[in-house]
Amino acid sequence: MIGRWSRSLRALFKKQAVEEELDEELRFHLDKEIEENMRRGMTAEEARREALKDFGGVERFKEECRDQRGVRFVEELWQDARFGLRRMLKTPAFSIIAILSLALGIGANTAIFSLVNTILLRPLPVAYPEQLISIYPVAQGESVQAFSYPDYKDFRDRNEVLSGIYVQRFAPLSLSHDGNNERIWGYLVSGNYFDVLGVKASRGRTFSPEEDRTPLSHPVAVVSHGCWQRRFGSDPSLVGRNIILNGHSFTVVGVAPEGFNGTEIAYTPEVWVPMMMQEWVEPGNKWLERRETQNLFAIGRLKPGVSPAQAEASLNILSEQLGREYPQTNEGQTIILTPPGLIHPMLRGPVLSFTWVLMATVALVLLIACTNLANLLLARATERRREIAVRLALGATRARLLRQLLTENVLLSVVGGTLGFLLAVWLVNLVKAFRPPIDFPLTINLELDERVFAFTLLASLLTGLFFGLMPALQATRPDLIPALKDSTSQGGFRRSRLRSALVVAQIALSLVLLIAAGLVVRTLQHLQTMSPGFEPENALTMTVDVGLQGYDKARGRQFYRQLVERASSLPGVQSMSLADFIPLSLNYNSTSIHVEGQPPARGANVPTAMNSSVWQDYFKTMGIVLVAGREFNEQDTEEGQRVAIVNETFVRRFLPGPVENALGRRVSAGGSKGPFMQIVGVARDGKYFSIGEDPRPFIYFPMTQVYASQAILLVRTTSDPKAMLPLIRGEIQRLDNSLPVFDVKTMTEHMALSLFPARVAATLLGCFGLLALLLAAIGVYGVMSYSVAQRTREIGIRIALGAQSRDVLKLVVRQGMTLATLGLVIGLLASLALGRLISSLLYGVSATDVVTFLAISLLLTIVVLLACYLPARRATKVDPIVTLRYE
Amino acid sequence: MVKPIDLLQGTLDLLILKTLALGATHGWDISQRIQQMSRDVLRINQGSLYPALHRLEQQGWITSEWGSSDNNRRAKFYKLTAKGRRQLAEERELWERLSAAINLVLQAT
Repeated sequence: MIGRWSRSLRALFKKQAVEEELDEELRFHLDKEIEENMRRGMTAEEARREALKDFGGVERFKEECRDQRGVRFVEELWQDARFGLRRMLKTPAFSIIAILSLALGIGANTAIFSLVNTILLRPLPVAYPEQLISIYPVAQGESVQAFSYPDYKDFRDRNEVLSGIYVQRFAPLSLSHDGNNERIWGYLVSGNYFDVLGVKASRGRTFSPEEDRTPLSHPVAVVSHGCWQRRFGSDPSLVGRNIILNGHSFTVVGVAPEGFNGTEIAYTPEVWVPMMMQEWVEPGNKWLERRETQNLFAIGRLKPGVSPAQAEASLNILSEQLGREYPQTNEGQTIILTPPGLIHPMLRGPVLSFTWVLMATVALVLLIACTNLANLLLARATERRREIAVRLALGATRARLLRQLLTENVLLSVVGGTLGFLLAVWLVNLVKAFRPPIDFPLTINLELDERVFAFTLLASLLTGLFFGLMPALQATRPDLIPALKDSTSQGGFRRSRLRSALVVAQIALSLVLLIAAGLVVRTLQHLQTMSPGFEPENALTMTVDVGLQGYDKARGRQFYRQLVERASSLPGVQSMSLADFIPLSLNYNSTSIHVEGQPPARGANVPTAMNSSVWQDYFKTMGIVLVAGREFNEQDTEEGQRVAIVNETFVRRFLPGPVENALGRRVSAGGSKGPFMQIVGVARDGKYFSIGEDPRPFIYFPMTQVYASQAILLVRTTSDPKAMLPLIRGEIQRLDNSLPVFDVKTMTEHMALSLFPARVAATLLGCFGLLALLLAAIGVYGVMSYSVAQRTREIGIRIALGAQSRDVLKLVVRQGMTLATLGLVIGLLASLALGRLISSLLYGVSATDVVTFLAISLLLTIVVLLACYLPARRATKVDPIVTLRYE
Repeated sequence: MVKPIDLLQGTLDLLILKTLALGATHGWDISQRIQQMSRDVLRINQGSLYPALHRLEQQGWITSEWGSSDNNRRAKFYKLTAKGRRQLAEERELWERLSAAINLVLQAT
């Protein structure tokens, strides 16, 4: 076996030597033959002639000997490839257009596929990732909630379908290191986190069961591999040492393995701390015993043999039991399961649908690029008709020619695919280097792994084979006679019809893409004109967290008061305030609402409103109009009457009647037992979570009464807010020079964040739309040029008979526009049909928006017109004498 | 370039293997020997001989090496391998059964 292979390889790579040996062997035989003949008494001349005659066609059986080497196929492939390469170099314009089209198409596909791969395909680096599921409680009305710690314990101890369940919570932490305080992001996790995931520490160990039993008993932490490398210089002695988190000493017990960044795709935590240390991680907050505080995300591992549907059914029975046991908090709650990785089911839907829209988009772009390729190949096949006919006539089989043509096409697509892959590498690096302007370790770990590479290879080969096959079949159709007769006039009607059909398809496809892009761009425009409900200009925000510095309530309040006093008096500061939330942020708080005098609701039926704690002058600083009542002021102290300000929707939803009547009413965030807060003001509605949301109820508490250890400074300036930054920072440092200041931005920059998803969508789809337009233009131009070249004689005769250049122009342009119109009609119909697929990406724009449809159709028409005009002008330059004489 | 696989090809392989079983030799000598042994009944066409030799070599039944012939010219000598020897026995048995069978048919009255 090995012998045979080595012989085959020798035949392949030492071809010259093998050929020479064959020659020598045959020559030896011939000489022996001649010798023998002469021995029989022939003359030298006769002997030679006789021997040759006997020998037969040397070349033919040399060829047979070659066949026996068993490398024929590879040799021919190599021959074909070299031939194809020569042809590619001989027609550079053709090759460049074909290769670039494919490179753009395949590059875009590879880049987007790497996104699909990251989000949907790549398994988590944990044991048996397919068994993991995210578990969410759902209140009535399908609003997704989270687990409280007591809920978690019940689910952990009483379920029958999970081999393990853990809870986690994102945790911002302050790490003191080398005299600096830095804010890092981590996870607060139940102690069984690593065990349920089946992740072992690469150094040291993970958490042990007793570290998760008693609150504040075991200050331990596991750090991520990246954290260990970046922040601790890969120090091998880190395990066992203490690090300072939030001013408390934690012992590092282990380093997580490289590549393990928790279960959420876009979140890269640096440290894990057991749940029992909650009070140190979130100072001033204590909720481990509170069933009301539902703030933990749960992930479970299915027992072997249990399907997600069975698990969901079983967990819902448990949830119902808990609803009966704790009706105040749990009544009416149901459970849904989703695959883990996308943080929240509310995000999962939009992220997935956007990903699929993108994938469909780039697939369409590739289809358009492939149509171009097929079209170019058809054109070239027509040019090569004679070459191919001659080869067929000389006895080449059709299969052999097909193989050669396909090899050429695959060569083109592989070169295009290689370029495309490089393009994707560049794009992916661009995406990886990108940091969204938010205070959250959001990283999209796109990686061009072997799955992406296989995708590119497959895409290249398939485009080459599939879109090359039709032209190749056309080219090798054995109608030799007309082809051999050099009749340039007959262009193969069917062939040009096929090409026209391809152009129509191209125009239709690019119209669909452009309309989708247009709709998303209109959505962005629409969002940009929407009022967020506050004044974003000339305002600066930054965040401090005094809790992380170990401040208690009294000291924190003191700090806030001093800071606002000092900073407000700075020149250039119009007003200043604090809040624990600013509108259009990713994380928010919400609270249950009970109106005094109304019957109490229970469990999942309790109404909720978003809330925040704000300092005095908040509404003035933010530029939010109060439609009734007053701002919070110095009188709203901890000891005084508890007060609140609500928005218009809150009034409409919970206190029907005129706005003024809401003033003086009392509401509670803690159920029917109170404590009750008196409404002292009603603020105008704004946007709180996303710019495109429906109006939500919102309630503001005075920060003097509802303390927050993390505060966002809001500074309204008289001029450029950026210029004020050093002064404000200076004031903070004067009060506490070790307090980290983070998330510094102008309000306009913050606004940009809320438009960020829409902008990404508009940019991506817009780019792909333009790419499609460009490819379609190339396609139309190619077909029209070719058609003009074929009709040269006809046009010559027309001109000779007195046609004006205007008539000729009209003739050619009309042909092009007929195709365009057909393409437009099909494209418009397809867009109407497909519109609902992208409706999830649209806001304030209908999926059948007339303006967009018309504008895009017009744009495409103009581009097609241009692409027709150039060949048409060439047609008017036809010299009738030259064309007629040529015949 | 499909070559018809007929009886002749099979028999040629058998004849070549048998000849080489008598000792290593070069292509021309093989054709001479077969001609002599068959008392000039069988003449091997060179056009079939060399493709057959290359095929047998590819199958691993024979090997080749360059040596010098009787008048000191370089020639390619073919030699039977162990595998070739087994193949010869097999083909020989096959042939004997076949010719016996054909004889039986032809002798039937």
